[in-house]
Amino acid sequence: MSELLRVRDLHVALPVGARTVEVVRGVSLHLAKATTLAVVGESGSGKTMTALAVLGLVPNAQVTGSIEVAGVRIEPYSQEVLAPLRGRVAGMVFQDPQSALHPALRVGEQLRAVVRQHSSATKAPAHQRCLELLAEVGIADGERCASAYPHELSGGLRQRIAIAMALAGNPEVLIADEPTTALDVTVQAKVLGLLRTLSEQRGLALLLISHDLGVVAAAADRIAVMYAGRIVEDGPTAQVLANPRHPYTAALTAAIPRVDAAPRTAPLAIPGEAPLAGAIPPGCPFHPRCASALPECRVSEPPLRAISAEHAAACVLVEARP
Amino acid sequence: MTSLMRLENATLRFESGVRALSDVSLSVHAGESVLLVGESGSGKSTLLRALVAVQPLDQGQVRWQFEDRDFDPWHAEAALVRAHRRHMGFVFQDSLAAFDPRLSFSRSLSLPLRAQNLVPSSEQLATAFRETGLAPELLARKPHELSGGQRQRAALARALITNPRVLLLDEAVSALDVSLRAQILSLLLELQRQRSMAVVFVTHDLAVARTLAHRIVVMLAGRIVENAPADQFFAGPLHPYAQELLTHVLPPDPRAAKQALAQEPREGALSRSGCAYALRCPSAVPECKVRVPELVPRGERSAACFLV
Repeated sequence: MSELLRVRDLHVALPVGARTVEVVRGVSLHLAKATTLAVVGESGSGKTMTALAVLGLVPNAQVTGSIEVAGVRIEPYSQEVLAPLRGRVAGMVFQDPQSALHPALRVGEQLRAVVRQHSSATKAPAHQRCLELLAEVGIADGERCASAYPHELSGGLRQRIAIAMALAGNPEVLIADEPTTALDVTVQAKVLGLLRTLSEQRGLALLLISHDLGVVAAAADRIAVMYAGRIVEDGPTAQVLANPRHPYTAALTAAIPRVDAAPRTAPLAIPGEAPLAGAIPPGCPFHPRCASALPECRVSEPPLRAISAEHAAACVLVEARP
Repeated sequence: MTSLMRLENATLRFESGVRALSDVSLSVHAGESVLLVGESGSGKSTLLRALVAVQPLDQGQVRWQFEDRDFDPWHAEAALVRAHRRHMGFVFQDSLAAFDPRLSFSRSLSLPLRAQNLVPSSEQLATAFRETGLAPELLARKPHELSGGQRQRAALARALITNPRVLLLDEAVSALDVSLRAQILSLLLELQRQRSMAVVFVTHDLAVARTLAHRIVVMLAGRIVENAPADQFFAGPLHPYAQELLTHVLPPDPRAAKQALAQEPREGALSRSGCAYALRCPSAVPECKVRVPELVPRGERSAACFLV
């Protein structure tokens, strides 16, 4: 399978006052054409920073490691190199479509501006291209939608428009950061269905960032679980969710409320809170919250260990298991 | 069962012409937890505001009966209404916006008591924080100095400080991470059992509703379309809209989640005449587009659908 996204040993450090704080600590990812990789984890785990670093959208940060998108090696330091590539090799969709769109400009104007940034099309062909993009994201009445202001449209329509914008440069990789979190369940189903269709029809590689394991279970082929700036488990969705090998992944799945659970029974919370970047405990960062922690977990941070050809986890207990 | 708060035929139209509530009747009984579910704009939060009498109604009335007297707060003496507000606690979605950024938590937690002309003791404040799993030392901090999960616990502590008989929560766990959400849900269940307090909880998340609910109330376009005991609701809702909502919940299990996603969401806008769901409903009959179905009791539950 051809890899459209390769990230190797990515580190991102942000300046905080006089010091720098490492928020991504050695992340490696790979993503093939027409597949979906979900990056899951709690707030502050580094999942959004990883995605932003892929697009070179962390200008004040120190970024090291290598990033290759659709065969293009991205030097994370140079905005001159990145700016023309952004939107062409990889597009991005954010959580809140309301704030992703300019409130005072009609949708058509905004979409046309993006189309014209990626091509030399004049106004009329650019408008035609906008209508094609709107049709591709399932908006049948493109003319009406293009002449509307964002506040006149529903949340679901606004998110479709944001997706159309991300597709305007014909990227091969689409990064979607919590794309359905702000939406109702039925609208969520439509947007996830659209992302799946786009992945199949365009061969798009989709990097889906989510904290919702239901969304991930429905949409992703593979999962990378992040904790404290690192990937702690990585594997095919079905294997990771049905047989999580890292205690954090197991705790995360047990913490989800479910409609098929016993009534009036709270899901099992993970004790404590995820550590903040810059205050990560020594050893395995999860050890203070881990029910299975051993003395050695306090000492050294375990690397990702392969469990099978496709499944890996960063836990000392992995080897001890059958 | 005693009804503590109730709405009777509440109707409200916003200036924009949107019907926020249409002929809504709902009772909240002592000790029960009522979960209001439905899509954005269905009227859940408006119903909550109407119950606590901060949102005036065009028609219908709200009634409170926390003590002997049963009265409409909009037509009662201000002192009586203010005294009764101690029976209600509130928690909102955004814990940062819910606190005055200039005040320490000890000041913020004192305010509901001062509004009742009570002087809070430092022990009382410390107990309130401890009860929600926060160290009393954090009372000296200001909102931006705590994490989102800690702040939501502080919001819960403030809501509980007057020992309310009803706790009202609007999407109170939606902004929290998975683990913090589980912690707050667990805490809520425990506190509700300890205090036999009623809970009215607005959420768009049916899995959260399953965790807390005795009763599920489904709203659509300003109307209640189903009101059912939670067990019966989750075994199979009566209203086609409620069925659709439940179909699209994605469980964290790839096979079940993919099956749920394969169910094509129903297309169609909300109908302006007749049943709001008529244009999306696979079972709609011509009458549905013309006449609004009433909420009809059927055993312990009720549904507003001609086909039920």
